Amino acid sequence: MFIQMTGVMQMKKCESCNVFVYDSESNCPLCHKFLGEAKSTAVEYPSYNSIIKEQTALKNIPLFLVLFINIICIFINMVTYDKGEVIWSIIVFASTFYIYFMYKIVSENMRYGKKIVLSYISLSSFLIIIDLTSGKLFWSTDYAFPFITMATVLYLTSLSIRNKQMFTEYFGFLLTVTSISLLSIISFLLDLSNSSWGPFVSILSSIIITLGLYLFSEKTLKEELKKRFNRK
Amino acid sequence: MCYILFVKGVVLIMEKQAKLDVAAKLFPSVTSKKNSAVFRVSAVLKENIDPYYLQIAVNLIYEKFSLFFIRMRRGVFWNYFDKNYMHFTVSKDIKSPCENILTYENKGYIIKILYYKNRVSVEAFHSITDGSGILEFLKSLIYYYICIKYGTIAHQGKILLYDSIDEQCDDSFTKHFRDVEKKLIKKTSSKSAFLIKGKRYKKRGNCVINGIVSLQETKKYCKANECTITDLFIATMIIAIYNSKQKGTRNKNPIVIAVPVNLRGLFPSKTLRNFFGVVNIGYEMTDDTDFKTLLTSVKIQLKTLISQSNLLGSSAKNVHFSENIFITHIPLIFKNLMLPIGYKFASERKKTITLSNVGKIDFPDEAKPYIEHIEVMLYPTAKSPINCAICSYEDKLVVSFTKSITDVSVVREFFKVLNNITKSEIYVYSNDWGDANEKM
Repeated sequence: MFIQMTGVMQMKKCESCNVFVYDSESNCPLCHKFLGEAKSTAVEYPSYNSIIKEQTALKNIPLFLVLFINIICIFINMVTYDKGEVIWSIIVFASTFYIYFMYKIVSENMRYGKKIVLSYISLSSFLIIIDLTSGKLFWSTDYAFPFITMATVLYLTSLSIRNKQMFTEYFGFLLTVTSISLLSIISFLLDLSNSSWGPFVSILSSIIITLGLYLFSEKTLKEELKKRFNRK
Repeated sequence: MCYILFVKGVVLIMEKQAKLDVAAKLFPSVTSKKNSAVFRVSAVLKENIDPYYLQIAVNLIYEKFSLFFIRMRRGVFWNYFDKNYMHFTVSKDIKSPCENILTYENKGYIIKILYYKNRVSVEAFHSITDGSGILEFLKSLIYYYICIKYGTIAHQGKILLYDSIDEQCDDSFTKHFRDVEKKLIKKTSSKSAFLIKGKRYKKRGNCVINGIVSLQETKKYCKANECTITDLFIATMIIAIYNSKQKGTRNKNPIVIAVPVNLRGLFPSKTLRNFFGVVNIGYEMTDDTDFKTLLTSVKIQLKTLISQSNLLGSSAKNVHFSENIFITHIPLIFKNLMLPIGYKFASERKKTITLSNVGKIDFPDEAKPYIEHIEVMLYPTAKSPINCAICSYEDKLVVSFTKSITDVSVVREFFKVLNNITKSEIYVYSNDWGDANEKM
């Protein structure tokens, strides 16, 4: 018995398969016959079933809470609709899902730039929904969305200047935010905003900053484009 | 300090080489939930792993293996390697072996260093390296871990020392096969192989069954029968698949064993990137086939197929294909649609199972008292849901089956046949993936 001679491992024997089975197994891995209680050994693997159950259960708690709150609120809103004729449950829906998305963004393991862009999209959507469902005063499209866009663009710009190694990465996210800011034009065309200066200032500032970074990036961005086009 | 060295190494590599080699180009396109293209090598030590010392060991080998600490990005025509500035950390092993590496969960890295009790595992996406490359990495990692935890030991030239960046990330496929004349390129066509089918686990993951046999006893048998260990295991595998799956069915397709071949032994190369070929050993089994006849056929086939001229022709074919002007200029998005179809018909349907023998793994003498044994695991694929990898350390020859289906009959039959032939004792253990009610 070349393994037992080392004195480290202990074995059981499965007579039907004619193999020795490590003590970490309660059943024979080949025929699943019960051989005795499992003991800890050097070759032991993690117990996946308990890990999976634990993770799945914990993972679903926040979503369950959000859905629970929303179902209750929608129900109460439907029952009491005649009294005020206000669909306030949409505000609860937007608020709870915004909190849920922010929790996911913060807790999930993802790139920092991606977290910024997702937070920007979540906050903008949340404020626009609140605005449209609470009187349509268009403060979200006139002020909130343009200012959030400008703040995000400035933050990403400062990050890309401060951290030159990550320049190309942040520049990609900057392009994404600039593209999203173009949606302001749609809100203006669809009469979803009162003034034109806010959306246009945010678009203009995004484009100018992006262009400026591209022109002053020297070789970095061109090298990145070469790689993207597999020319390097 | 280590982080700075690591970044410096990665930048050097990126300046030298951002392109993927011919094998590496294929894997991202054919990867799916059923085909992770992630393989694992593990070292089982005699004592529990201390993650603190393991992290220090990783920090020390960052620069030497900076080729592995990268991220893969999508280009317009092909994927490419890029710098990864995120700090790499070791993590606890909580998933089943060879599952897809989710880059967003792994800071963009396509390599994982895991620990659990006495086992250190390295999982890598096949685009960055092959079995030979990752074993060099594991050997260095364990060597430094032992040095840090128990005191410095002599490496005896058995651990990879610092080679130049050029040699490390050399694209040996292109170097050796780009200029091969077209007339030497082999056009192969073979009929479909017998395929193993079975019910997949409810929860996606892989079951691993490891069997340990004595290397000396196996060698004794091989010497008496004038064959290699690989010949013996291929023949045993064919018999096992026939007895457990094909016998009594109408399917008469040959049982084909795909065997990866390390090309470094045939073509001079020190690369840590992919440099392997695959040969298919097949046999049309009948009830009357005896083991000796099968073993002789396997010996002849393997000897012929792993010749330098044969591997030169087959490898050159792949290089010429990937460098074809038409193929190169198809956008990646379309390649990702086309390559899985080609892979399914040209590779997946032509083999029953993959059996990889990575050979004997040697550590410095002073490190040996700390190491129990080494394991190598291959990922199962959609059409080949059971795969097998073999390695040996000291007198322990470890045969590891990785399977994504509940059926265990092929593995059971393999060990039964091996036991009957070599009469050597077999020691088995598993990761027990799957619920109790879906094990059979």
